Amino acid sequence: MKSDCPPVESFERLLRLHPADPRREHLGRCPRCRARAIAFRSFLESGPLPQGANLAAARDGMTKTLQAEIRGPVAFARLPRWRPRLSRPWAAVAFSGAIAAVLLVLVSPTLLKQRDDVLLRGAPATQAQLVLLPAETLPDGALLLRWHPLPGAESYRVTLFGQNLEELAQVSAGAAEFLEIPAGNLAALGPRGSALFWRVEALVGGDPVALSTPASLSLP
Amino acid sequence: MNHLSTLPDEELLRRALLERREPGGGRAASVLLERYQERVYVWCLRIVRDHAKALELAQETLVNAYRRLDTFEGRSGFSSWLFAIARNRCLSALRRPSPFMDEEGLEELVDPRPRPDERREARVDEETVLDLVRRHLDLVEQEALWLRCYEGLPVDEITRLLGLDASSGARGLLQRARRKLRAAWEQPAAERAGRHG
Repeated sequence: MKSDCPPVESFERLLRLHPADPRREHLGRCPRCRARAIAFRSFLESGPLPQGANLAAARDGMTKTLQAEIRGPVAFARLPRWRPRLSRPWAAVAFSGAIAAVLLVLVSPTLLKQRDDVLLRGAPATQAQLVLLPAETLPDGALLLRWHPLPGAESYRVTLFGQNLEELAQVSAGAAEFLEIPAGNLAALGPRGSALFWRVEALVGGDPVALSTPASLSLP
Repeated sequence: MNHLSTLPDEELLRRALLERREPGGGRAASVLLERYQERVYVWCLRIVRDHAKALELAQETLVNAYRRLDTFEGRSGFSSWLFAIARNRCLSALRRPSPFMDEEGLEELVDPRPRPDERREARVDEETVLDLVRRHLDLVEQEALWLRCYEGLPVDEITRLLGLDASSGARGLLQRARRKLRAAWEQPAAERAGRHG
């Protein structure tokens, strides 16, 4: 008996048919379908507003939620306004030198044979609580950065570094355990194929509580 | 954005699906869903009768619809597809009344636990109730009972939708319908089956 009832999704088309149309006939004789049709018409009508309605607040709330969903899991608006922290050339050189020295001491030849994204390992053990997953390129060209969640973390902050370890951008991922960088924003980070580095900080109350080791990625 | 708002649902949907693959896309989807957002909110409010709860359900409906846009096959109308999502969200948030038991002013929300006296009837599946409703209630009783118990509409909304006399409204109608339904259900099973057969 249930199989006779068309899905609610088809009601818009069915109700446009002439009442005598055999495809619509069931709607007239089935109590369940008649009730659903009444409910659907009520959804479409611009009848009186129910008591307690606050249309302006609802409109505002729904638009904001929808826009946040459409823009993606994080507002990436900050990306083009990245702040190079090491603006003076000597600072960049000094930082790069320090990292290189650490690498020379700590990175074994075995590790060097492995993938690029372990090249920067060797950070202090306390920083290794956040584990990054390999960066992925999505079918639409977006770059997806993911990491294992850290228990207790309220939010995460992702920092992207250029080839000379200059900071390119710092973006909040909110509470999400991933950051999707739309294809359109990638050009701001450098030419396609550039090797970049990224790192994630876990935050509680806005303060960092854990820092991942940096990993490399190739800009799609 | 302005020219998008003049497009029919089907064209907006087509563009929305194309735009999803483009960086910074989503304008068509935004126009399409915002076209219906007030209806979704008002529908949810009619069901749950609380602004904050209705807004939460409406937001969930819209986000869910956006995420599932590419599952919309185009064989149904967009409005009924969206309605189906909103309806499912609302029904899952409701404590729906039993078709057998009088409500005694029961209009409250979200206590999914059945009352003790509902447990026996809870085992009666929807198809059995549909069969009883068809055979024992008149057309208006059928609609009122189904709207109340399976579509989750409040009594005063049913009164309005069915154009009933506002003084007694759907409440009296529902009481009568439930009385008839209980009487039909309490007949011995063999008798019910024999009459049906």
